[in-house]
Amino acid sequence: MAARSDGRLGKWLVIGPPLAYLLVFFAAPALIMALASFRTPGEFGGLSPLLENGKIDLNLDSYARFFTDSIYAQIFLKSVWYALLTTLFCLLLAYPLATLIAKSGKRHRDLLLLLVILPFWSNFLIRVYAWMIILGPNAALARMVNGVLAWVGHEPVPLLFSSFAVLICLVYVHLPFMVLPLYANLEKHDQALLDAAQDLGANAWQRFWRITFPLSLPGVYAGAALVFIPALGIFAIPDILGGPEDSLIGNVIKQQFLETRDWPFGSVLSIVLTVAALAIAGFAAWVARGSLGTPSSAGEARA
Amino acid sequence: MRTVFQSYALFPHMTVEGNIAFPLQMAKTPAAEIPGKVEEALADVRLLGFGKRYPHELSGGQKQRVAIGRALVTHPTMLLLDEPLAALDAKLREEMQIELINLQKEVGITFVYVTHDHTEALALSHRIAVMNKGRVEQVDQPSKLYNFPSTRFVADFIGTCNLLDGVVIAAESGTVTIEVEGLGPVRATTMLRTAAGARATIALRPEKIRIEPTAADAVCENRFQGTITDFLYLGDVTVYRVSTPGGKKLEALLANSEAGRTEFFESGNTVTMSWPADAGHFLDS
Repeated sequence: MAARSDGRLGKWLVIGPPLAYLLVFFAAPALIMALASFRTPGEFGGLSPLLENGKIDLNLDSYARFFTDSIYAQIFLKSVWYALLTTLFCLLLAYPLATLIAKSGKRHRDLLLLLVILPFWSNFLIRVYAWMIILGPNAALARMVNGVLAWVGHEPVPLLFSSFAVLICLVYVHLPFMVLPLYANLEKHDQALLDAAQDLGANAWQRFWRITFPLSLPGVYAGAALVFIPALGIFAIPDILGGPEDSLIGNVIKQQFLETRDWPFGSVLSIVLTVAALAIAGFAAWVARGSLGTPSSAGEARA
Repeated sequence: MRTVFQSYALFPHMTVEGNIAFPLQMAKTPAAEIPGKVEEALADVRLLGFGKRYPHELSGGQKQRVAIGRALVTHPTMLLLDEPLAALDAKLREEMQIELINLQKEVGITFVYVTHDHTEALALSHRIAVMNKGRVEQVDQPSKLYNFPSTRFVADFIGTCNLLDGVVIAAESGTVTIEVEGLGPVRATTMLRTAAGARATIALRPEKIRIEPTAADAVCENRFQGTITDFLYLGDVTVYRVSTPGGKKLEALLANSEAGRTEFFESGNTVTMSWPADAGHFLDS
């Protein structure tokens, strides 16, 4: 009996601190934000008092605003579109890279992995500012592009402060989050399966689409989630590299809290964003389960 | 030709049906014919009703059968099995061996079976090729291979064997006598031509040596004294290690079921080993 209660105490000691942390720093703020979304903005920003003249002031005004003014839905859809494009380009770039790393020898593999995570050693904002220099009007890239454009008789285009700059930086920043889960998956693939497929008459193309790719889907889904969800809420990259048309939902939320100081509406946007991200992730997980047959298929690939 | 891999190499994301249909799809078989052929292959490997399962839902023996069914569904003329039973436990392996023999009879194509297990090779094969360092040492029927190995390597690799090295001291009309160090002159019959002075080896299977407590009635060409140093009781048989006064160590195997067998030997017992001249197989070296 004593041993059993000891075990229970031990369990609480282990899960207690992280649980408390999550409750205080994640669940509580989320609830405060959910509550704030139903309140009225204060006269000078922030929130007006919850209790006024003995009445609790909770309303759906901010939600009504989101669903009636179509500009927010448009920005929201644009954010989803940018996040999808980012995910797609990351996948297209990361798949060959992850395959290369997984197939290279032990020594090269470690070096390549190091190169993939090397950007994390410098500050995120510094890396984004670096793109300002790379894409700047006087940099070699812009000159080269505009030189070619002038040669074919096209007007020069600015690379910086454009959707192009935002997308290229979104892909750059998120690429490692796609490469690492893909590599972790591909590295475990059993060469015997490909040998068997070849023996059974599959060519290189068929071996990829019928064997390698389906078995790598757990890695693809993990990478897509790690890229899509942060890309959906990003605000720094459009702020620094985008033009006025490139404002995304993250920028609008930031604006609501810091500039317009309409906290209830900012909370509404945040909640819609969170719910949308959860819904998309949930949908992806559901699709993943269906297409993989069983959740344990990935583990089986190792056997 | 198709291969059955040691690790089965079943595609984990496909059902049993999906696995078996794979080579058909690769061969561009009309889609309408595939289910029938898959069903046929499932029947061949006695897995009817398992089509919808995934590989991880099958036992080792069942996975093995799926791998074979997948390899046979396109009716190849030859099947290469690369140590297919190595991952199975002893009991299941024996069952699968019998199944493989029956399956081979049914489908009637050549099975090339790669194995390191010499008993498995003897049990399954019509013809065995023994390879050493990439070279074929001997190709023969199992019984020929066992009883008349053509090289030292084959004699040693297939089953256990006492290899008696020595110098030919006499050779006349099919019988040779070899002076074996630590043992003495050993007589053996052979078809090979040899002459006195040549180095040679006699391969002598442990079960061909008779051990008796004292010099007994049987008249054998070869008769030596020795002391039991170790023995292994294996249930059906007992393996005795016998050391001669000259220091030669021989292994002898006695069936425990032998009629009239009443006596078991202990370590330290002095025994007489005897075998007829035609028991040993002469190897030219």
